Formats: sequence, structure tokens, C-alpha cells
Amino acid sequence: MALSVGIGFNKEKNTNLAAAAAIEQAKRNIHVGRIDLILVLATPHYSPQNIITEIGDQLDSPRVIGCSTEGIILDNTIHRRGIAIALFHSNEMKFVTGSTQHLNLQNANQAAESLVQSCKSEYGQSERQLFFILTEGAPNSIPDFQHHLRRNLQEDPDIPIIGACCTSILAPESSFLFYNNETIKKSAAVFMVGGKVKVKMACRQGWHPIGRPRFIDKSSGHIIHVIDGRPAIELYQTFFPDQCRFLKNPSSSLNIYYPLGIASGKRGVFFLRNVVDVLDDGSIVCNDNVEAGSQIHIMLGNRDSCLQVTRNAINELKGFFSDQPSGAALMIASERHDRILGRAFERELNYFKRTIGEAIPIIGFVSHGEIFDVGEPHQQSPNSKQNNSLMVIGIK
Amino acid sequence: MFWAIFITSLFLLISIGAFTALYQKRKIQNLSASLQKFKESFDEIDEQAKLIIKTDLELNRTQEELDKRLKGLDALQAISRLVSTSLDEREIFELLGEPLVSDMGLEQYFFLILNNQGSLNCAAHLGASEEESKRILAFIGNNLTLVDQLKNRQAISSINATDDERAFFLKHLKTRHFIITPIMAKNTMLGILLATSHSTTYAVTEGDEEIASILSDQIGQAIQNARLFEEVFHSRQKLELMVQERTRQLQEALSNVQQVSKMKSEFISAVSHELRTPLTSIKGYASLLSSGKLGNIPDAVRERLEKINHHSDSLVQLINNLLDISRIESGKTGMKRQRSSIASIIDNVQDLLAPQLKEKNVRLVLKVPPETPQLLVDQSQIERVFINLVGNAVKFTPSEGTITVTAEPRESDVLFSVADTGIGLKEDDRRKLFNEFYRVDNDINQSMKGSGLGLSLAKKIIEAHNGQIWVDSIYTKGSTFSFTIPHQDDQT
Repeated sequence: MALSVGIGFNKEKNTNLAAAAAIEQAKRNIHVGRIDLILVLATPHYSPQNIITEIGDQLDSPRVIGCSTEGIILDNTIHRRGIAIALFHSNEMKFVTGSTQHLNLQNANQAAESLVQSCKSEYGQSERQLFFILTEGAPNSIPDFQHHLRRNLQEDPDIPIIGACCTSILAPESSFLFYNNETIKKSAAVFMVGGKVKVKMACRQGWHPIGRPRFIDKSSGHIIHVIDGRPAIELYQTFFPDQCRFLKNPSSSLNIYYPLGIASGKRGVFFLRNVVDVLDDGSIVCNDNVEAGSQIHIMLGNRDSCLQVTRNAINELKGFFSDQPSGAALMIASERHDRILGRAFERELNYFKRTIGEAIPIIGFVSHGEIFDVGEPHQQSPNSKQNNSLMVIGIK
Repeated sequence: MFWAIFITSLFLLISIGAFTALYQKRKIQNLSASLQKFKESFDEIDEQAKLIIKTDLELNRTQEELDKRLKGLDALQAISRLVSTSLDEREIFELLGEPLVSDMGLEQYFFLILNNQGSLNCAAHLGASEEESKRILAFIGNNLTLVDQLKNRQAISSINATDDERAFFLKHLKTRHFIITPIMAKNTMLGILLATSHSTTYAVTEGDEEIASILSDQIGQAIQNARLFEEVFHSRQKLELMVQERTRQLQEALSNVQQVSKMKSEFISAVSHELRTPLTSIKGYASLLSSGKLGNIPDAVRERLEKINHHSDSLVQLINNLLDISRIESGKTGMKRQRSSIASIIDNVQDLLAPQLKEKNVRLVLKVPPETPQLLVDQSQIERVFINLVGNAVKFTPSEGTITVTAEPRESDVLFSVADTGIGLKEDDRRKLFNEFYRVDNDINQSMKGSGLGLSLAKKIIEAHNGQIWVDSIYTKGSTFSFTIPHQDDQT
């Protein structure tokens, strides 16, 4: 068996009791002595420091990575409270972890370079198959960060760079990362996997452009100032004259269901941008960079369109585990995708479980931005940070 | 020639220019028209998009609301199930947290319960730290207007609050999404449920508000049930303590009575013994004197001596009865049981009392079926019981009356009864009849001697045979004395 996985979960109120129980269950499920990597997910109800202490007390592996989340996905259920521990072991794979801290004090290039160096030196010349990144307090521009990551990983031009951001816009103080024996903020942590490992992944978002194309006349960084010669906010005012005042609220339906779409240059492929704020002059502040001259749309997403892409993403993993029913499936769902799917999400998890096989454990979490860069732009999987997509990864 | 060529060329140039201009103008006109059409098409696309968005907005809103309603119903169902499992107020709060959190999507719950003094206490908080809980308690506890508003069953939430209120709550609760709803039981406010969410993914809706109100009512009902149960439990405990105390007092009293009874028996026994010895001497000397062995005595003296003798016999009989009662009570006199025919006992009694029956012209009817089994009894003592009962019946039955002695074999015992057509008993007499020395106050008793020990002795004898004795009577119509003797003793 190439990859052994043991998952434990507990939602006891007390952090130490919950962590201890989850660890115990995970240990029971993996049936091996040596642990190569520990993935930790916890809802914000728990003390991250206590979790790390409990892991240090009960497990030997120095390689720990994980994050806070508002929803832990385990097989066919989303838990809104609890701690999940996933233990990985393989004699044929190599796991390495790395991190960079103080993202707010570094530019994209510095952050990417220090992150890659932190794990590259340990990894040596072995073949790398996956670069999985978690961030809290993302760098100023994720596309730039990704670009520099790709540049720093030039020895492996096809290595997938995937991951997620765990920072909630509304409650950033309750977000955190787990990295080895500490909990960190405003940081990025990564684990690289190499050796005899097979990885398959898919990422989809269920939003489609609506209305006539418009063009950004003026922008700076995350801010769109002018669209088609008018203040940027008029784009929303055209379609949502009554609801526009809710746009500043990141949890409003308007913000969730109708983000902005920036044409990627490839037909039908759009980068999604969420509105973070609206300035007094009518400029719109987005969650990531926007370039002047880009075609821009209001994007429309609903339950049906998101369900469709969920199935499309899941179907890409069909048959992946059929020859070797071992390993694990990872799912990262944006909080917006989660919100739109609502009660239908668990139905889709059942579909996922059936598709990959009942024996394959599924672990995942609800994120606030997904990173999906598989080397070259994919027709349906834009290689940039999204906050609206669903990502599935099979690893064996 | 030159001019001709010049003019022709000029004409041609002008014509070409005019033609070109005309062509360009037409082209511009065409382009303008196309542009206009293009713009119209774009506008048309936007108009269609607006329509789609309008429908989509409504659809999304409905879907989200439906989801929340369904989750709320799930929560209600879960809570109904949970609260039915507990009648402990503290446990109810512990049980309630999880389904609320997982099914309603809100993150923090504060259960603020009014105490006996009317101030709020935080009975439980979920998803929040102790400090947050104290802060919330202080804020709501000090906001009397809010508490009053809630007493009128008005829930306040981030949906129905005014902008000022929303800003106020945002400042103090530090959250955009909240529901504050009273915990009611009937028309009494037991406390306040505050639910908040910092999540970006869940905004409170009217559905949440309604569900929260129903939930708080259910919680209120559960708390009331728990309190009622506790009240009943405490009352029962109090009652049990009272019963225990009363039982102890009764046992003490019984013990005292038994002690007194024992002392009485011992006293009677001692006194009886002390009396019997000199009485025997008195009787002996009276008999001796009366027999004339010590010399002739005048008739008057003989008559007095015979009275002494007769009264001495009565006194000896009384003393013997007292001694028997005392012995039976103390267990000193064991019943000398042997298998006996009750019919033959009754026949003996009939023979014994025949003169009195005849003298008083009272008929004795015996209804003793032949299948009446032999019983293991002390024959002389049972005979004594029959003599006592039939003798009494003769005493209180007027001339030409009837006394009926019946035996009725039953599954576990034989029921005997002595029924007369005598003067009957009043209720008060009936209750005291088996007490020692109790004599019914009537004309017959006043004219006849008696010790008041006969029925008491009969009762002791029947009880010593593990039977029961009682009397039924209708005043002026007659009485029926019944007693049982079990087969069980016969078998053992």
C-alpha cells in the first residue's frame, strides 16, 4: 500500500479532550507506527495552541500542517464544530514541510522564495509531485505570489501548486495555521510530496458572466476605479439598484452570488474577484489584483450551476482509485460554494464518496480562497486564487 | 486644349472626390447604424441580464430561506428529542448546545436565566469564552429596556432592529448577526436566549428569528418541566422524610404500647398468681367450714359460706382468664394442637349450653356441612371460643330467638360464624368489643355479671391459631361473630 491514511475527529467542547480523542481515533485507523505527515483542521471554537501541545505529546512526527476552518469535511458530512486529525504514512513517498512567516512584511517574490527554500533544502533532488500550500493573511497579490512560486520551482515546471487561504474576512482574528510544533498567523505553510505518488486534481467554479462586456479603464492594485468611463460601482448599480448598499458586507447575498469576473484571455475562462469594500468615489476594492484594460463582468452563480461544476470536478477523479483502493481524497470548498450549495452539499459529498469508492477516506475543509496552478492554464480551472471554487484532489 | 484637359481632369477629380465623400458618408452612416444596433444589442443583453438577475435573486433568497427553515426544523426535532430525555435543568443546557450550533449555523449561544431575585445569570454559553459570556451578561443585565421589551415576547434580531439599535448591538455584542429572544414558559419569562454569529456565510433571516423563538419556547417548557420535576422531587423527599419521621414516632409509640402491654401482662400474671394462692385458701377454708367437718354451723353462716365459695369460684375463673390472656399474649401458653373435628366440638358446646337454651327458649341451629375438614386446633381452647360466642348469643337473644352456628369450608381456611337474632350492637361498641374488660353498657349487662374478658380471650385464642375474628351487627336486629381457622396450619 503506497499511502496509509488514518483520520480521527471529535467535537468535544474541551480542546484537549477533543484533540486527544481525534488523535486516538486517527492512530487506531492508520495501523502503522511511523507517521510521516499530520494534517490538522480545527474550527475556531478551539485553542490552536492546546491542539499543537496535544499533538506534540501524543505523536512523534515533526511534520504538522493545518489550518482553521469554518467547516471540516469528513467523508459525507460537513462538521461546523470539531477537530480533525489526518495521519499519513508511506514508505514510497517523501513528505517535506516548510513555511514563511510575516507575509505582511514581505513582497510576493520574497515570500515565495523563502517558502520554497524552507522546504527545498530538506527535499534535495528528489522528484516532487505536489506543492500544497496553506496561507493565513495572504500576500498582497496571490497571482504574483504564485508566479514567483512557479519561478522558484522552475526545476519542476509541471508541479501542481495548490492550496487554500484560511483567513475569514469577517473574523480574521480567529484564523490560524498549524505548522510543525507551533501555530502561526500572517504566514504560509507548505507540504511537498514526492516519490512514488500519484496525484489527480480538479478545480471548478460555477459562476458565469452576465450582461454585456465592459472594460476596466483605470485600476490600481486591488482597486477598480473606472469601468467604461464611469465609476466602477455603477456596474453593480446597473443590475442591483436596490441591493447595492449591501455590497460592502462580505456575507451579503449580493457579494456571494454575484462576484466580478475578469476575462483571463482564454475564451470562457474568468478570474473571480470578490468585493471587499466600496470607496466614496465609487471605486471597488477587490480581494486581489485587477488590471486596467481587462474585460469585466458581473458573474452569476446559483445552486444549479455550482452543483453542476461540483459533479464535473468529482467526475474527473472517477476511476482514479479503482486500480488501487488506497490513499485519500482531499476536498477544498470555498465558503461561497458551501453557502450556495447549502443543504445540497452533503448530497454532493455522498456522490463524491460513491464516485471514488467507499473505502477511500475524504477529508477537506471550507476555505476562503483556493489556489490552483497546475502548470499551465486549464480551460475550466483558472490558475489563480479564487474564492468561489471547489477543488478535489486524489492522492495515492 | 490644355484648358479642356484641365477642366476634364478637374471635373473627374471633383466627381471622384464627391463620389468618395458620398461613399465615405454612406459608410459612416452604415457604421453608425451598425454601432447603434450593436449598442442596442448590448443594452438588450443588459436588460435581459437584469431580468435574469431579478429572478435569480429571488430564487437564491428562497433557497437560502428554505434551507434555513429545514435546518431549523431539524434543530427543533433534535431539541424535542433531547429535552424529553432530561428533567435536569443543568443538563438541558448542556444538551441543547450542539444541535443549535450544528443545525442553525449560528456560532455563539448564551442562555441567560432569571434567578429568584430577578437578575440574570448565564446558565450556559457555547462557542464563547468566559470573558465574553461575562461581558454579554453585564450588557444585557444592565439593559432594563431590552429586558422589558423581551418580557413582552418581542424578539430582537439583526433583521428587525433599527439602524441605531443595530449600531448599538454591534458595539456591545461585537457582531453583525444576532437574535435575542425571551425564554418563555406560559406567560412567564424564565430567561433570554442570545444567539450570535460572526460567520461570513450565515446571515440571520426572518426564518432564523421564528425558529429561535420556537426553540426558546421549547427550552422554556423544558426548563419549566425540569423545575416542576425538581419541585415534585423535593416535595416527595420532604414527604418521605415526614413519613419516615411519622413511622419512627409510630414505631416508638408501638414499642411503648408493647412495653406497657408486656408490663400489664406481667403485672396481671403476678397479681393473679398472688391472688390465686390466698383465694385458694379462702375457698378451701370456706368449703371446710361449710362441710361441717369442724363442727356444726348455723344455716345463716352456711349460707354466707356458700356465697363466699361461689364468689371465690367466679374470682378464680376471672383470674384464670386473665392468666390465660397473659400467657397467650406472651407466648408462654402454646396451643396444644391436634387434628380435631369441629362438628364434635360444636356438639359438645350444644350439650353444655342446652339448659340455658332451653331455659331461655332460644333455638340453636347448626349448619356444619359433613365435608367440613378436621383442623389442627387446641380443642379445649376452640371449645372455649364457641362457648363464649354461643353463651353471649344466648345472653343477648330474647326468648324464641334463633342462634345459628355455621361452618363454611373455603380455599385457604374454614369460616365459622355464630349469628343471633339478639339486640345487636352499636357501631362504637362494635369497635371496642374485643378490648379487655370492655362491657357493652346495656340493661342485660347491668343485670348480669361478667368480667369483659370473654371476647378478648376468644380473640387471643383465634389469633394464636393464625386466624381472624370480627363481628358484624345491626343494632336491634342481631349480631354475627365470625372467625377463621386456616388450613395452612393444618397442613404444616
